[in-house]
Amino acid sequence: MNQSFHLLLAEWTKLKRSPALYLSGAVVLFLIAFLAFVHSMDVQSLSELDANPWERYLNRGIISYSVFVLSAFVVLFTGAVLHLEQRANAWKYLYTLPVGRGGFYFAKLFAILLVLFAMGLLLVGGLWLSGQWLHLFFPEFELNFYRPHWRDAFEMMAHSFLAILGVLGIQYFLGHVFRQFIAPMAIGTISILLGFIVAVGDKKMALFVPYAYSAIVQDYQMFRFTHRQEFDGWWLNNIECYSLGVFLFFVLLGHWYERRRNVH
Amino acid sequence: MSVISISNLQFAYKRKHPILRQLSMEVPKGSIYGFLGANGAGKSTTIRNILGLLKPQAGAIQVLGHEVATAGSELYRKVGSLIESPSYYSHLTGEEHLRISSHYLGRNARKNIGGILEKVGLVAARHKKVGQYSTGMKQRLGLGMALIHDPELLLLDEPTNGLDPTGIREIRQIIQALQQEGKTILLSSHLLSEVERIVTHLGILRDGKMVFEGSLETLAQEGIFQPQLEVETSDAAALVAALPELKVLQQSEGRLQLAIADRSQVPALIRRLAATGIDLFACRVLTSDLEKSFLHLTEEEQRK
Repeated sequence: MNQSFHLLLAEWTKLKRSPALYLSGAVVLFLIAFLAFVHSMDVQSLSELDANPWERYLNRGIISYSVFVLSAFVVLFTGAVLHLEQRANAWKYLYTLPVGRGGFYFAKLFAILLVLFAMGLLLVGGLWLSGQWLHLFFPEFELNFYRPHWRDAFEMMAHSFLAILGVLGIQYFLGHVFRQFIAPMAIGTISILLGFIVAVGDKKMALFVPYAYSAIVQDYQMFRFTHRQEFDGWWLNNIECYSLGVFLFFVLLGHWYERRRNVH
Repeated sequence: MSVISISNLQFAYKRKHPILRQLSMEVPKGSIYGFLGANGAGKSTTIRNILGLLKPQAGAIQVLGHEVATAGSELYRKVGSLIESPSYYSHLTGEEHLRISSHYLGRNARKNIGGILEKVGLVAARHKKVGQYSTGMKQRLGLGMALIHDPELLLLDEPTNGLDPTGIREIRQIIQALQQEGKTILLSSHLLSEVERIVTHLGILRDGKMVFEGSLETLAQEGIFQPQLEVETSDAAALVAALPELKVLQQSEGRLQLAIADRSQVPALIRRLAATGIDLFACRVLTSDLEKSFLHLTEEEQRK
């Protein structure tokens, strides 16, 4: 337990002040600023009487994040985190330390998951703050007359978090196999585009393309506050189950590959 | 007692192109073992095999009594390494690098950060980003990262690469101090001149095979070159004609190089040369020296 904690501290030390971490903060802040800007530009059509504005505002923010940002961000962020080691040529040093290759592999993965999780929290918190700011200038939104449904917002974030794990698993695996930034990045970008095409063409087929999950996730009611009535007793929907399966498969495959690899 | 013991090690990146061929070596405890060879001879590959970074196709490697193939973290707690250029994150400071290493290496290493910075002379630059370090400072930081857990065995792969003479001297001094603390150091280089002042033992690698292993004295004296008597004379051809039994190695207009078994033959040979009546200006015995022996061993393959 103590060693796991120190492995994570080491990962944090590497990440802080890195472009990868700046990127994650910038993505969330940009999205929040963009959403607030759009609302401030079109107050009349975006305000609605007698409806909780927080539900709408948070919903829009989280959907925008999940559909348009998350896949691309995971591709970029996973590549950037692994690139830290590749640029430092660090594997040859790390793998001679008394930690074991698995220790580094899972500590780094866990660090990426934590940042992703923290981004979700930052997004929800940021949306609330930007809502307060909007209220100062545009009271017609009535943001101060209602309270946000925090539980629903965090559940939405949890769904999108689970839905993106498949992409994360694949990119993490590719990053270890290619040991460079460009190739996994290119594969990820092309796959996101293909995912959108498949999602538009054949939604059932898209269930088997992890990169399409962000595009089809709304069809599975994930982003409706009534979603719990839509599922058959399962809290996880199909997308999340597939995503978790893909994640586990590629993470374990990557671990197996990494343990056998010759470090040149 | 050997700290590193390798027997019949074979390694190839591609099946048909072996890099290490039946390599065997022994590194004695407490020694500074100079591991020499031309570029591409297989030094780095050997060190990576010793550290378990590469998996050999055949052979056995024992380090500090542990089989590397099955060794766990216990072995790596006793070994420090610096392989070629050090691994560094340019956006972090020197101290942060040591902190990262110490997170991996446990409580004692965490307590040791200040001492290590002092040992490698980076106290003043501890808060400077490593991207702004000079090559020598980076190399010293790499050495610090290898030393932070106070290992018994240190593997340094060309640690003076790219350093200026001052940097080389600094690294050399650190290595000597470490040996005095009782550590065993394996130091690879392709330049004998860089290591000959500090090593106690030597292994010379050529084309993936160990062609010499022993002390410096053995390398210099073991007759890698046949001793020769060099004679400066007024007429080399006449001298050879007068004494046809001479074993001539090289002949030019006023100079002869004659093969001799050892120095004891020299006085009698000079008397015979003088008896011919041909003018002799100088006679000197040429024995092999370290550099010549090293070049002889490492370049023989190229001459073939």
